[in-house]
Amino acid sequence: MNSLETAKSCSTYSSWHPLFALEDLEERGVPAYTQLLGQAVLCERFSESKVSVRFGDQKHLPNGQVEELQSQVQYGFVWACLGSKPQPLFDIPEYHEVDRRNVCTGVFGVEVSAPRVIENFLDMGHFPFVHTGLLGIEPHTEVVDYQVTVSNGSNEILATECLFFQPQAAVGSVGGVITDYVYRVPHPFCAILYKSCPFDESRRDVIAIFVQPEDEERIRAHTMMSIVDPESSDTSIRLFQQTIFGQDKPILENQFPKKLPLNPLDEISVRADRVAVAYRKWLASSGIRYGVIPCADVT
Amino acid sequence: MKDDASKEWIPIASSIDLVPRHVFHGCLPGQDLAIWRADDGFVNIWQNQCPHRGVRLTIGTNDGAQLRCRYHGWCYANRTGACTYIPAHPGDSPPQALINRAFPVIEKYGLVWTTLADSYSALTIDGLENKHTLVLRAVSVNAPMRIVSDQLRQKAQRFDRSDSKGDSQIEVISCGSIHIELRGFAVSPGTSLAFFTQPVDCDRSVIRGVLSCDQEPTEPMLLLRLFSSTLNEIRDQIESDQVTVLRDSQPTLDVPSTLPELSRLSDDSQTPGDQSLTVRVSEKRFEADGIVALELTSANELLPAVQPGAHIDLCFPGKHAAQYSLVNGPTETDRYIIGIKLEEDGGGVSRYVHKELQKGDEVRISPPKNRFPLRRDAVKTVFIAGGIGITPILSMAKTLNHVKLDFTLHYFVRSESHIAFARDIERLGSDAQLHVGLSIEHTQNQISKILEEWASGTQLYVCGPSPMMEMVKRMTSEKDLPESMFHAEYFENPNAIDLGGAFQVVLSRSDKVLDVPQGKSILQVLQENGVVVPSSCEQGACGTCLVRVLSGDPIHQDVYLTESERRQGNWIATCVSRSDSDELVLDL
Repeated sequence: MNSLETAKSCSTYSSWHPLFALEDLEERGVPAYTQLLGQAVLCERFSESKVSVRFGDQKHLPNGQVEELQSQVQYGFVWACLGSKPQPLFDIPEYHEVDRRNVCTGVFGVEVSAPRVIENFLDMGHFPFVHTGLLGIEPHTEVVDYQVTVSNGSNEILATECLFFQPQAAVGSVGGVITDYVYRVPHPFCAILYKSCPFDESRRDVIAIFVQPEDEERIRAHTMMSIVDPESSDTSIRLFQQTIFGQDKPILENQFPKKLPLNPLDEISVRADRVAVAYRKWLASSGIRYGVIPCADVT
Repeated sequence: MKDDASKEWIPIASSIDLVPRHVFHGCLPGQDLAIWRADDGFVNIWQNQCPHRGVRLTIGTNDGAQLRCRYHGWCYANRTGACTYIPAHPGDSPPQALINRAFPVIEKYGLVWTTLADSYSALTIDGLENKHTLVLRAVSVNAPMRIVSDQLRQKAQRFDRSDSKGDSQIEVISCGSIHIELRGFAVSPGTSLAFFTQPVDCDRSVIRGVLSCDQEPTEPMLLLRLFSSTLNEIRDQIESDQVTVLRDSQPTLDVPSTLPELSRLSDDSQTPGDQSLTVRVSEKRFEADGIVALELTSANELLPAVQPGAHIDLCFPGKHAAQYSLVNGPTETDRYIIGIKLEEDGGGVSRYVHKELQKGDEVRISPPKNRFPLRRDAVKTVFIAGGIGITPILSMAKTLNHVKLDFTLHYFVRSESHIAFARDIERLGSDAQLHVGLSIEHTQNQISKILEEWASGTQLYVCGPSPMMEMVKRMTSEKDLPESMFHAEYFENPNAIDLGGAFQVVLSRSDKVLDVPQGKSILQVLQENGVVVPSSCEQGACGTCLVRVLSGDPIHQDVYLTESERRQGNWIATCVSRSDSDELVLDL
């Protein structure tokens, strides 16, 4: 089965996927090319929020028109759907709060499957080893037990009470703190992190990752932050996020196999991996086949 | 030609590729390999994939005794490949069955060899035995192994660089699909050249050559350069021939995704079952007054990896098994070291070891079990050891010393002549402090001083005679230090066990009700009724016989469970503890 057929065999084909940060597209006309689910696609921006997405090979319909794909602009990004009747895109209510700064923090190409990137985003255990001195530092390596729930109604995974010692949790923080995370997975290839805000104890900063599957084993990770931080410059916020992602990329590209194995026996999990285990189960029960190695069908 | 490469030993690296503290990336068809040499010289060849999240181990760290995964810091021991530490859960000992897939290894003739075959014989290459050998620079070729071997055979005459006009007299001998030998060099009679073609994947190979001479070559660099340039010419030619045979079909290779060892792993199984090992006493030495040390080795098997704080059961026919902590540090992977104190009134194992056991004798032992795991996430660790209690503590101190974490070891002994493992302790330098011949009162003052310096983030590990452990425990609670920082291993239960009061146990899974009369333990009743519960010390010290309690009020008489574990009431040590309620429902 090729990449496109795999996508068509599950809900991945008719889901929304991110393509570009809106601010990276030039207004009025210059087409930007990328790839989605193994297909070349192009995107044009006409005004502040008017975009058009088409297959890159520009198939003409019998009436001479070019077939246009479904698209929308949300959270600062252009989203597209190759299939028909997509579910509405998930909501991030914090994005619309007026005193927040919404910053696109960059796109990163990685030679790995989309679910491996999501799983890495949900993982705290690697902080002291991969993000040494920033998100974690030895000897503070313990991942204390946290809660994971899968709500069937809204069909997303929620991990709460995720506590971890961090030497510098965000660009605005000074000195080590125990940070309190909440993770949300509202889409097989998108995840959102809510972390304690160093400027306002009552609120949480939002860090989101939207993964564009160029192919089953190659992705572009779009990142966005929606934070309460009156001080840091956009550049320093971006730089921090890019430092973090730059540390994850070589790890992700050394994972083997590149697709995420859904059979629980293929990779050993411990209690710290509770959210990863829930994510794998959720992908399996949602019938996702894209970027994963499915379990042998059990009937 | 029969493709028997996978049934043979294949060279996958030169010895000089394995420089200290490096991890070398090796390849065989369908199998990526992480190859690393420990400081003790042992070469490990492992599947290049951490069993946790599949990250290549070649990007990990070789610290001389263990390989640490780059992603989550999981540590895998030299020789066995067993996981010895999972930093995300510093208080837990990793399951014994969590082992990296390791391949057979032989280092010989300047090359490192392995095989993917299940059965194999010793490696002997006649042409290289008892000769001076010189390993040529390895040459990678973009061509399948069989083509490379054929071409080497056909072009063998080129290796004779004699200036004589006559035909070259090189004799080519095929010794298997990957091995050819060239003899009869005109320039240097007595010299022969062995080539091995290592298959890397379906269209890549590595040529590894070994030159053997009767005498040590006088100008090795010159020889190396000469043969390397010939090899490079041959490589260029093979590759240019290959360009025309473009890669039409690339066979896909089956890569096993599940390690058979790991598929047995159940969710929370910590016990490896009751497989016992036979080892030989390779050394028995007087260690201190009343203490002998034993070193145990296995001639044909790798010994299962040691986690700091682990112990083994020593079993002699007709005697109760006795538990002894391993003194091994992370670098000591080729033997088990234990210290045994003579207990005149014990079960007889120590008397037997002291008086009867000889160097060279065979002994049955259990694989190591760890009920005293060492956290490595403490800002500072304090160890208090008394007498023979030094054994697990020393293993822990050696571990922290190896990974350069901050600790202090306080070792209390009756007199100079009671200091065991003095050389090991000396090596810890100023991190180890001896307290010799203190009275009970002075000991108490000393411990009080140690505890006064307690700071947040410190962990305390205690092992020694029961009165001393009780003293430390009492003083930590008097000083209001958190229970979670106190870790102790009891060799014995200091409390008198009361087997009074009859009650019933209900076995919920097997649907049985058993009477436990006065004078008999739950464990005894279970065993009499054919219910198998593993047990070891049978005095409430080791925790082997723990069973989950579903309902009822246990009266705990063991010293294994912590106060908070007792309060939760989820577990009972069936060898000594009893029930306050008429009925105790157990998860059996």
